[in-house]
Amino acid sequence: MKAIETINLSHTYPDGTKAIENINFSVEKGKNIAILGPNGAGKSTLLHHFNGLLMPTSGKVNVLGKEVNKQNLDEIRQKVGLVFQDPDDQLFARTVALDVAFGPTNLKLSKAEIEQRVNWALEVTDLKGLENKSPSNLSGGQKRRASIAGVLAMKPEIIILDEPMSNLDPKTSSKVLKLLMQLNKELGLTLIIATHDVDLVPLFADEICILNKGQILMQGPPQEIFSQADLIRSVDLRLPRITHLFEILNKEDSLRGDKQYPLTIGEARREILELMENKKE
Amino acid sequence: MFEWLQGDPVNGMLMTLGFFIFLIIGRNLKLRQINKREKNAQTQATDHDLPSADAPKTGSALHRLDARVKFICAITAVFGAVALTRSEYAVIPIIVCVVLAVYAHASLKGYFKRLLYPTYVAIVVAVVQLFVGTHVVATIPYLGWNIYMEGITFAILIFARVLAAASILNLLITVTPMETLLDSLAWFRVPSVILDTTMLMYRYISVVSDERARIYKAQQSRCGYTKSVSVFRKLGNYGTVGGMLLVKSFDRALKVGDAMVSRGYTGTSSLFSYTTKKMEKKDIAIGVLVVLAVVALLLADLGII
Amino acid sequence: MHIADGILTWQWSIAWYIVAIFFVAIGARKIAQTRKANPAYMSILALMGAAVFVISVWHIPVPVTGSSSHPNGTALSAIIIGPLATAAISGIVLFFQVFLGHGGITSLGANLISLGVVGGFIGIGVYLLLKKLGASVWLAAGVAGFVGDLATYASTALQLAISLNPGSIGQHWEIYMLGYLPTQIPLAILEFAFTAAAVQYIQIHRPEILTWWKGLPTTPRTPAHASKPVELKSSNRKDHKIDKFTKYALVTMAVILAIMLVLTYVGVNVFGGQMGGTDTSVASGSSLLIHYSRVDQYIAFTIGGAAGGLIVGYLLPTVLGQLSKRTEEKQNV
Repeated sequence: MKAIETINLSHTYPDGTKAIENINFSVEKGKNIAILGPNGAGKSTLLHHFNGLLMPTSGKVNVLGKEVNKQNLDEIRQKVGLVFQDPDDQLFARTVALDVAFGPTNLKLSKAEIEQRVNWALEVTDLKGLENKSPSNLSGGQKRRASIAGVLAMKPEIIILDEPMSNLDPKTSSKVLKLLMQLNKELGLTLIIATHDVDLVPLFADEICILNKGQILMQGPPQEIFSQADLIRSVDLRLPRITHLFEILNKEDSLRGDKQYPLTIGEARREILELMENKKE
Repeated sequence: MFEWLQGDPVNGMLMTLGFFIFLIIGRNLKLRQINKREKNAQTQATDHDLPSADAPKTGSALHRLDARVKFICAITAVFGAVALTRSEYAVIPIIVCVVLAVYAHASLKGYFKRLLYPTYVAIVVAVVQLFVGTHVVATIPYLGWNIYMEGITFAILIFARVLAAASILNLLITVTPMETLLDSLAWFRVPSVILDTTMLMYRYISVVSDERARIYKAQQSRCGYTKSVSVFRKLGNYGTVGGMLLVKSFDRALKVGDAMVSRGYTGTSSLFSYTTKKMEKKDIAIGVLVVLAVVALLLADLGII
Repeated sequence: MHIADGILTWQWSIAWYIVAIFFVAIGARKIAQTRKANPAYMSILALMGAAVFVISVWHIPVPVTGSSSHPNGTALSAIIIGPLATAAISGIVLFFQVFLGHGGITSLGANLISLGVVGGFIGIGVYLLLKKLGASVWLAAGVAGFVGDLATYASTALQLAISLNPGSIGQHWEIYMLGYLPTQIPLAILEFAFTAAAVQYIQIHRPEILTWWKGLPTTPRTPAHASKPVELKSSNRKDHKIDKFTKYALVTMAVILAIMLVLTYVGVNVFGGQMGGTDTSVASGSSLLIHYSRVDQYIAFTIGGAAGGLIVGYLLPTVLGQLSKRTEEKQNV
């Protein structure tokens, strides 16, 4: 089943800028997709359509098989959670617990149910003990996890994240990544992650969609996408560092044949070990 | 040389008091000037320092007392202090507050510093009152203005009231983190629209204030406020910081609004569901005692007791 | 200008409260209506309110007096969020300011009227009028800030006169205005420059901010700009100690006062002496009473002592510094 599908989606802002044009995008349920694109490619605009924050100027958006329209916005917003790039934009309540409870309260749930959901969301995101802290006193990673908890408490089926790893130190960023993987694998959530961190993408994404100037350039599994290095470079992106290294090794030192370049450190390690064993023989 | 001693001993005492206090003030003024010149106003302290719950607490009994009880006590006491008619009685709250502040390990410097602004406002009013009344006690030489008996009593009364009220408020501020009070505002039946706005504003004051500091520093780093810049240009630069701040806040507000809507907010009800704790019996008892004490003071002031 | 607690009589405090609650209620109703039409209104209102609060507690050095002052920001606030919402927001801002030691609980109502209502409405009135007359935006905003500030200050003085000197309101109104003149005029000038520059900046960069509250519910939507992260600020509180000099000066003062008190007591009570004074009222009393008839003397002596102390204290660090320098030089030689 398709989690999200857009058909000929276009959006023009009131001041005349065409943010996205003729987008045909789709994600299978339970997948983990990364939307890659340079600054100003229209990533945020596209994401806001999935949650009904923006309505298409033309074309349509289907979420879990239903078309998004003004009547079913509440349902759509419960099904699709949106995590903003700057946690300070999203954490507007006095305390973390109040903020996490914000979504469930709007769903008109019972008090016990709200409390149970808040507890669950805080537990999943490892924020127990910080319930009564003010968001302004949290660290960057904690803020990010709190904003994920706020969305999680609505029990969505799809979570959209706008640059979830930006402005975090390496360790915090990997912790957030681990949390996202856990959400995807254990809870079966569909994740749509907008980013321009090329190195991290192969680690988590089942599929990559490259957006440029409001249009989809290509969509497919990481191996397929990163094998077209020239096309990627033409839209101001680059290959992952490790892939780039193997590309150089291939082109300059002709170390290996036409095999697929590795995308992650793990794959690269295997490849290097293989190469070394081949030499020994 | 010591003719002044032949008059009234109060003269000598007042003169000594004045001399020493202003000796200290004068020296500090000079020292501050020297310090300023050395530091060249490099570091700008954050001005918004609202008392925060996450700041290290000194866990005195006063801090632990229910914020609602403290707030009600403070309001009653302030209204009591304002209603006083005899200046002698105002000394009681002033002393009680200082003692309690010391008990709560509050910073006395901050405590007295906060009394400065009310004192300034009171001085003008009190001085004006000196010249109102019927019984002339003295005349200012050369100007010919009469100082009246009633005026002096009233001026002293106003001063005493202001100091008493300010002390009470001061104590409340030093022992009550803003946030605990905010959380209990719902209990006071504040309308939800106002509550929502208050909570959101409180949340974003620190964010906006940090932003302000950053913009200001960015201007400073490019010599926006050095000596060579003219006064009006400087004021203009300050205004630009304000304008930028508003523009940035507006952009942020649009995103915050998106974040609200994306989690199902429709604007028909209040933003948050406020829950309030039950008050402890011990706290209620303390509150009742304080209110009774205030009433007793007022009755004594009116001469009923 | 904020009136502190204890200056207004309690009857007038309550009266102003009632008037203020009326205005806040109207503002709150307006806010509730608007947020129904546009849920995002709350966020705009709160963030603009927060920005105005931050501006209103920002110490800005004022050129004329050499001291620093905060702009009121009510005219600015009325221009960008509308006068009715400003009344409600002012209530919140004033409540926060109480916790910074400005204004007071009992005088909150009076302050709300003078700052939020009078300042806001007159500010926006002047702004709209000048704009209609064809003035440029910055000039209209600047004059609105200036006039709004003066209106606030005049209404504060009026509140004082009504409450304290009901017999001669007009005369005392003038007197109070004169009394606060030295701080309020520079403030009004500051407000002029600040409001003008801020509104000018907004007019150039995002003019829709100046009109959004009139054109609700359709808030302008532009592509979101990338915003920067907000660092956590660490609150480091300096611990202050009374320095040695102050301590010694205070001790000396206490000692001298004590000696004088004891001597007076001994002189009056034990020896029945008259301290050489011709006024018997001092000698006849067994304790020290302040005599209103001598207030002029007291004031003169206090001022004399204070002036002496101020001069000595001000010169002392320089003199001591010179002395220590000289001794150092001598040692070096």
